[in-house]
Amino acid sequence: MIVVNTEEIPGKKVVEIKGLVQGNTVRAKHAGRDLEAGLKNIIGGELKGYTELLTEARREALERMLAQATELQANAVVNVRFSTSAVAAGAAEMFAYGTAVVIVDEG
Amino acid sequence: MTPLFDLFLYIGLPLCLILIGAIAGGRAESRHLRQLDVKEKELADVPITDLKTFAGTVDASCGATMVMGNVVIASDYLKSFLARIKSLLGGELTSYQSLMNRARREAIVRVKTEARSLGHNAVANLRIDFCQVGAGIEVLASGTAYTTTLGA
Repeated sequence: MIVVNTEEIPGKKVVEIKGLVQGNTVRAKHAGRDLEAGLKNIIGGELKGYTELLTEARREALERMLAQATELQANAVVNVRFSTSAVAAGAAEMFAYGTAVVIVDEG
Repeated sequence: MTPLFDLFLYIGLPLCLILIGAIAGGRAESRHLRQLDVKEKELADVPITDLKTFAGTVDASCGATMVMGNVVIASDYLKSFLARIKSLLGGELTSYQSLMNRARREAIVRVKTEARSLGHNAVANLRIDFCQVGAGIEVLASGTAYTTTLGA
């Protein structure tokens, strides 16, 4: 499954557009990460705990999007975009969406 | 409470935190900026654009794939304190500006690093998104990595 965030893939041609696919997940952090964040708010810098949490969540949202694309019998997803929003105190929703297509080699 | 305790709580403690924030934070920031300079120099030969088309002579046999880099960044106590005062007066918050620039540069460095680790040497369609999560701000950079044939 090829995944890109452009509309075209070099060397491939889109023969069928299957439609919009999406995947999302809502993740909450645990108290340990809050503690790290509290300390980091004094020194500043990267919150590695949060970064890992959000990377993992985004990966899961992408997997769910790809599962939908596989169901539609597509072999690529193009123009992938992301959206993140805080839904509750300490929880964030990761949303990934794109267009599932069928591609063949060009020429 | 005794006046001495009040003095400690309302003036002494914030001053301590500001001092820690200024010293430790400043040191961490200059270390990060030095690391960024080194990494950006290393990755200077990976062109990155926000164009929808693939710039350069594309090697179609290598394909293309999406790459992402993200950072969650928190401000130090001094920056937050300065920002709170500045927001009373209005105007440019330069303390936060430097923080956001750092986060953006780091996210772009991570995108280029992932592109390279997948065997590609260029990135197209860069998009940058922000979100506030809990105590920090997440900067997400995403793009499509592809391969260009050098020379020709």
